Amino acid sequence: MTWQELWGKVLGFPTGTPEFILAAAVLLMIFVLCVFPAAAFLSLVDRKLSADVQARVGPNRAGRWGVFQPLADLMKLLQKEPARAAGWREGFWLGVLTVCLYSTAAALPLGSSLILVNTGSSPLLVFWVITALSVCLMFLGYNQNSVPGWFSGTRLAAQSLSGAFPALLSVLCVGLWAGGFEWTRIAAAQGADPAHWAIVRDPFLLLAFAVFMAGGLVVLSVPPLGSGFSLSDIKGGVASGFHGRKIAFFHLGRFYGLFLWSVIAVVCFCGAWNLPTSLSQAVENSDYGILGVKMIEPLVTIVKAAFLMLFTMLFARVMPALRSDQVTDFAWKVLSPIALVALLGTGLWTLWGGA
Amino acid sequence: MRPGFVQSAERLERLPTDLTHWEIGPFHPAVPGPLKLRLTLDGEIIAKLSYETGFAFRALEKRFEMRPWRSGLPYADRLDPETAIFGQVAYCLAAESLMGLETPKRAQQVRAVLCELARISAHFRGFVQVAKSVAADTFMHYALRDREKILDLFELITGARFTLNFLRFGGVAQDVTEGFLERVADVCDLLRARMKEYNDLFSFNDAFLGRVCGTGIVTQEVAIKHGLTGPNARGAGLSLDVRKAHPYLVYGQTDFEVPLGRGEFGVTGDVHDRFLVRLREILQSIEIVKQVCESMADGPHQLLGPMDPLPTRAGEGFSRVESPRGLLACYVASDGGNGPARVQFVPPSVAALSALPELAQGACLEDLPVILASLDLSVAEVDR
Repeated sequence: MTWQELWGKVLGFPTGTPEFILAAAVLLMIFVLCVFPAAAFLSLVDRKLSADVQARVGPNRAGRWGVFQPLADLMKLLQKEPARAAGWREGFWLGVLTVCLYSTAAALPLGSSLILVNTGSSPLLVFWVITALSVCLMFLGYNQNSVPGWFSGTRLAAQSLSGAFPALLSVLCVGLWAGGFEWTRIAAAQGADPAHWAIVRDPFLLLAFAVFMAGGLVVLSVPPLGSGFSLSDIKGGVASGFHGRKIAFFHLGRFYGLFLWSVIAVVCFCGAWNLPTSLSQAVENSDYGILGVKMIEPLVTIVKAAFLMLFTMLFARVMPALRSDQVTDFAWKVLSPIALVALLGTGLWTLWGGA
Repeated sequence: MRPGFVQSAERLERLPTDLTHWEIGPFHPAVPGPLKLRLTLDGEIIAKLSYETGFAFRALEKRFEMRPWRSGLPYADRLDPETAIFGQVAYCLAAESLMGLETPKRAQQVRAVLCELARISAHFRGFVQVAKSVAADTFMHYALRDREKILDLFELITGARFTLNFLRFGGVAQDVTEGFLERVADVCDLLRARMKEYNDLFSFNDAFLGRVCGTGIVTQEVAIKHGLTGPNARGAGLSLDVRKAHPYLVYGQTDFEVPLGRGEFGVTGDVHDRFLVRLREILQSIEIVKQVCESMADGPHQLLGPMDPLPTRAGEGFSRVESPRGLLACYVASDGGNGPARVQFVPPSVAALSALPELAQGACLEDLPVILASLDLSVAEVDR
């Protein structure tokens, strides 16, 4: 069953509906049903958990246990009007952000039936879009028209590029091991059981996974490997002059970058969306049929990605941030050689039939 | 070559692209108070730094001269609100030496307990600044949480959490409340346990060490040249503590050590040394508080009643105390009148600020907030 047939049936579109209309509807659905709720839920969990770790109360006003806090924040931010006119660089950032958000959703590997673009370059497309998301933040810094703004923008771009190289090598390791870069091929090479995950089956992929996650912290500028997003401008906060709707978009883009990175990590290294055979057969034999299986798959991916994100967020909360030159040094001089070793090792492991 | 290009190239040559100038402040989150910093940057390296103060000038010393002796006391709290009690102790000791007042031992002990608690509180505040400068949110909240315990104790004994206004000439305003000393002992035990938590989480964290080791090095020569005192000088290895060198209150009868910077992880006198000295000073303060509380003398807490006339006379008085930021000296002169004729404070932050240009030169711009936080400056006492 192709995605067109599946989602045409689920969304109730008549047969023969143009593919672009169907794709637009699915993209909208991915955002409305997956990305936005995940962003709201994870931001709340992050705030509650980090408050607990930091001996604070955390959000507790909007609804019971503060469950409506993300909604309240969004409402507040959307109502604020801009205090100053946006420059062309800010417009450029907003344009890149929007393009990135929509274009990557097509290749977002949430489940076998949710991938609209499944080619040999799908992982690389998503990967480079995440890098573009980070690098375009440089323009936000430049938009401040000040010395710290230029510094912060340049620092972020340098960090992103330095982290992208070892992370890209890590993705190459997976492609080498799986025999191709299609999401479905990478997923099929793994199993639901952790013993069949890529990081367990090939020791070099465990190394690549560590590099990929560390590279993610660098690319997305998450402490301890970077913190230049919203600090005071002397330390390089590109968003230090932001408020209102723009800060809402900014946070959404930042969340989406981390979400995407975690999803890629899950699909490439941690068993993708695979369900245990017994479970998938049980669901398939039930009234829900194959549709039920296809619905559970994104849930599995999102839950795994959420765990990775929460771990990353908690790690970021307790660790001090390194200086930007220390971060780039770490990426070029530590992560990149390790990634090269992982690539070489994976090649040899695959060549000699270790996988 | 096109004419326009030549023109652009000439323009480019004339542009001063080698150095950048940037002014920070007077109101900016990176500076510890109203303070203007003028930076000349070579890339991200600070080539030159100069500063301008005076934005929080309150004519504080003149206010003492315009008021009777007792009315001036609350102003001593405002010298540096973060370490309020030390301004009052310095002023009271100087005035008492002029008046020839002998403070009862119990009052001296209460003053010492409050001073050490204030030292712990101020060091926690310093940790918050350092944690903020390296974006360590969790440690920052831990330090604030523990500082609250000290402020609770202040509230218990004085009714105020910050500017206490608790000292009087010849004693303190009130005797200690019932159960206060026991609660102080409990808080001391708690803080001693928390120090281990701090070390596990932050003090020896690799990322933190990477930021602070070898940064903002205060050598002994620099410390002497600028007259640095307190943890900033002790971090450089200079054993200078007024409580040991010129004991006042009951410090002569207490047993404590003076922690010094040893360059355990970086270079002697770097930011990490100053951080560790403050951390270890908290442990020493806890020791002092426990010793004083255990030997609390019976007797009056005040030599004079609130309406008793003060034995003023013409002359001079001088005091020096060890505040959390360093040596705080106070000079008072009287012509025998109702109030002081002249009051002058010599606060430690003036010296620390004067060393900033030398410490910042050659440092990375991102390290400037770390260096500033490690010096634990109070702009309030610089401007006063």
